[in-house]
Amino acid sequence: MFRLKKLVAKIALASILAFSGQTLFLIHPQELDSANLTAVADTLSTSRLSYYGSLGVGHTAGVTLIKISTSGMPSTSTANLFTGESVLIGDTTTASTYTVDDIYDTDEFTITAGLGAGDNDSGDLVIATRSATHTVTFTTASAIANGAIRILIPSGTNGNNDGIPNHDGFDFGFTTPSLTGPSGGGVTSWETATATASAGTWCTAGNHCFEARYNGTNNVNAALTFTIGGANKLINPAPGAGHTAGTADTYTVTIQQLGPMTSQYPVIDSTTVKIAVIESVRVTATVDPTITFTVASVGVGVTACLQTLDITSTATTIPYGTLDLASFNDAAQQLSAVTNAAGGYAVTIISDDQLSVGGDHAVEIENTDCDNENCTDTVSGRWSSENDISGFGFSLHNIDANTAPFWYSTTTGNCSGGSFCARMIPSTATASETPDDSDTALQIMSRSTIPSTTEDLYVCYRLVADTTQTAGDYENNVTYTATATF
Amino acid sequence: MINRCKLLTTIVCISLYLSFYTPVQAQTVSLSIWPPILDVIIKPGKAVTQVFRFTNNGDNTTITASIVPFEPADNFGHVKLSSTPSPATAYFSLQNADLNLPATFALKAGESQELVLKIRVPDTAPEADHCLTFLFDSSNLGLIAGTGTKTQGSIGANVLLTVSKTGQPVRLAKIDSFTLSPCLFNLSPCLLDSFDQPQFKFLVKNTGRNRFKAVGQIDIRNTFNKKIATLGFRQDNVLANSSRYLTSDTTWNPVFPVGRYQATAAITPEDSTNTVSQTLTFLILPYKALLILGLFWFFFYLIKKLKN
Repeated sequence: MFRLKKLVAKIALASILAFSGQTLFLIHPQELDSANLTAVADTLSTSRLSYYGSLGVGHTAGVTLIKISTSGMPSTSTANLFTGESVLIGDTTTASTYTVDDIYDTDEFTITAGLGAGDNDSGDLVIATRSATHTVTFTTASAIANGAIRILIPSGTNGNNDGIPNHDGFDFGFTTPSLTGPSGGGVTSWETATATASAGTWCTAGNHCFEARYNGTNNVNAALTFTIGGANKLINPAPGAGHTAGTADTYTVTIQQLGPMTSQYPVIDSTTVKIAVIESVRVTATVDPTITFTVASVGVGVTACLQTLDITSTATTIPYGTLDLASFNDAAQQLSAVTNAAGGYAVTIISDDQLSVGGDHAVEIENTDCDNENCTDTVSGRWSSENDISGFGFSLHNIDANTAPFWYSTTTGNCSGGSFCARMIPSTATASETPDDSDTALQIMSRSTIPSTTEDLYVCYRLVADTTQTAGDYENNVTYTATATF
Repeated sequence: MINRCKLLTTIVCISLYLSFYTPVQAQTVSLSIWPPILDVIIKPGKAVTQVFRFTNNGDNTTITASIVPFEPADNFGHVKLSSTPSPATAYFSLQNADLNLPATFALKAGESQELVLKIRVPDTAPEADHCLTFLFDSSNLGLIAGTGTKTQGSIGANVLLTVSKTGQPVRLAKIDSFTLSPCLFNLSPCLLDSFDQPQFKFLVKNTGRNRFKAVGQIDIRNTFNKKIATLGFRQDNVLANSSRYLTSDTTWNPVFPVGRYQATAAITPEDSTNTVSQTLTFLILPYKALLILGLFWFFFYLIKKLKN
């Protein structure tokens, strides 16, 4: 009995000692070879969801307004469709490509050409694929000889390599995606990267497999990049089941470093990352076409048409007041015009008559005929010196306008040798002064395209009253009219 | 002494104030209108309305709105207001409860006024095109003491109205001219320098009774008959019995072109199949550079000969 007790005690002691030894191992466990890859990322060149919807009912051949079925498909509205995009409409065998012209409302959009016969059946597919390049970056954790890098990207369950977007994964596409395998990393050489669609040879269903094998041993902490895409890309998923517009669908991508072929490429290190795909936001805004025209005063002392102005104008008057006789009295107004209408704009000028006392059209200061009696409302002439004969005229000073019929600085033709090239102001009055009779309004600034900025010019008025001019307050009316090009 | 000092200070202050005047540029007449153009095809007996928004960005003013006929001022789409009465002005009215055409209303600085323009075409109205401007005149309330000119700012929105029983008026076009510049000595075919910028001018005439929008382009082919550029025309309105230069949205900027080229301009009035086209053949050579090289060679040859 004592011996038995002694034996039990010995066994118990041995067990305790054995367990104590194991505890020591637990405290200082032996390091394993497996670890996580670090700094892992999969960057998509576009994270837009693909579009996969179907036609609603009631389409006839030739229509351009397309109505989307609002149930039963991954895409049930026009969200994530954009003007100018290509869409495939029709059944899977005879579908045609169309261009989105505009988004009409939440379930209707227009196409630039009429819907073809055969593409107009209710339930025909409406597809817009969005393909992305995956740039996968990671840092190795282990030095593994003659191993491989493998990227697993979720595929859909069915039809995951037919070029049609899936609602549950990335489609492999008709053509094998372009690959750029890793380089460097301390290995002796990299073999050509391979791509295998889901359920292909050595690739289990559920993921597309992308592999890059290497010879030699990689460095620990080697930063590597594996690019999947280029000329040929994976097709992004369509919205998943229960998708809410504006909320991303997420997919898990796995990055693995495998052991050597002699060990049948066991997974040594593995890390997963999440990638998200979401609709793009459609930003819409309407810019109304308008035309804006401004007449502004110009003050005394300002230089316009190379003249220091004697009078301050207002936006509605050129108030000469009491004139200096037998000398030039100069004033100006500034005109500004801008439009975003495609054809541009034009501004014209016309008066009701020559200056007359109280506007009576009888006792007048005649429109100038310039220094050499050779200017009219359509022909420019030099008016630099003749200030002893009454006259009223104008010139133009380009600030940043595009087109004008003449400038004060013109020195050709009748304006040669002068510093102020002038004209009569065209007038609607009848035969008040030949040829100043029922003139056409003169276009003084214009543009046939959309100006890049507001365009400005000075209209410079010059008035001379000779010493024999009948006393009185002389007046007339000048009208500037701005219109868009038709 | 104190009084003299005060007087001197006052004089200096007034002198400084008068010396440093600021030119006055505050007052403005500033008018803005949306939309700048309205394009309507309407059947007799029908009506259409359009809201025009007029904004006064300048000082307080009084506006008079009216419908005025216009005619083309040139071949570039600019407007010449006409004093010839148009029967179509009777088709226009305002839906605003308090305004009738011609309408006069006061508008303070920064305020806008929306005018609901109704176009009602009588059942008996003949088929025709009407070109009108919805004109807004700001009143010239400026008072002049002494001699002066009262100026008035006006702004207009163009209304292109086509009365058509079918809604599909016949639209016919003819090419008035299709030219290229700068051509050396106006030779035919045109000879351009490789370093010059080719400029096409395309004038189209509306030979029908109704206006149309011109849809078309210029296709350029090289020596090997390969299409190398397409310059699309802006879809401008060409009024009946008038001509208009069409503008391309893009320019042709070839890199050192050499050889024989062909440019074919084709336009089709919108909603019609009446396409008209014209082809222009031209040559592009670096003749200026060749001329300079030739002169260099000539002088070199001359000097060499003289030395010998």
